Amino acid sequence: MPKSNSEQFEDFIRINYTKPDSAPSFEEARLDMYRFKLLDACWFDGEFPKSPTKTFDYCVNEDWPTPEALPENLEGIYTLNTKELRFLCSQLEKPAWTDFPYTKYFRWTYADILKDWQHWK
Amino acid sequence: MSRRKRHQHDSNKTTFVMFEEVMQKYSSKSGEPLTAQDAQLIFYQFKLLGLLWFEGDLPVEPNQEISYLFNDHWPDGLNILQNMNDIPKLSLAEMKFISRRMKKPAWASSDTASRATITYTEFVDKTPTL
Repeated sequence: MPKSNSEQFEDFIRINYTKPDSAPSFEEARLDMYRFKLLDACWFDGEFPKSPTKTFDYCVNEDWPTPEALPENLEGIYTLNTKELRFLCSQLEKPAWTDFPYTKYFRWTYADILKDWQHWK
Repeated sequence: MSRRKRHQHDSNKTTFVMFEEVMQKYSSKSGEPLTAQDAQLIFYQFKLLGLLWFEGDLPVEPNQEISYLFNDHWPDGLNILQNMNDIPKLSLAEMKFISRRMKKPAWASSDTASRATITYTEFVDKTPTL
């Protein structure tokens, strides 16, 4: 039986986040948001804010992950530094799924990210 | 002759001079002859680094032609490489995944972009061993 998107996402987190007990620093959370953007899991226009208290708008790809589209190994992407991630993200085309009527945009801060991250502990 | 003047004199030659500059910085196969697989990887690296543009996925066959656009203004972008040491280490699958989702850059639609076609075999032949 094929795995649901939720199950696939849990697998992804389990495989790629080996220290779920430690809350990410602001810089780690920022890095992850760029990684997720590069992996097509989320989208935000422009740059992620540099201040933890500044709000930002983003949307989540409800159909992600689609395993057949993701590279089998993401080790290279996970070694990219923030500058490299920002550089690559700045060259991405805005994906079609961001225009779907059911795609919700969220307005969050770093504190909100931290709260959600606790779910994966 | 400066690089820019040399470019005006012989665009293709300068293209390869610049290819070599980037490859010398990034190549992990120092002293070894390049293969068609190396050439494929290099073309994806260059697209991710903003040096060239091609549509879709690259062919696998060594003798199949690749049509690409070359960013003539990229020499000014050599500075961006200072912090880009891990991009060339991405796997082919990772680079293809990112490449498919890139938007066509403005320079690729401008008159300053040079059009060229090449096969991996020609690329390897024209590029000296690094």
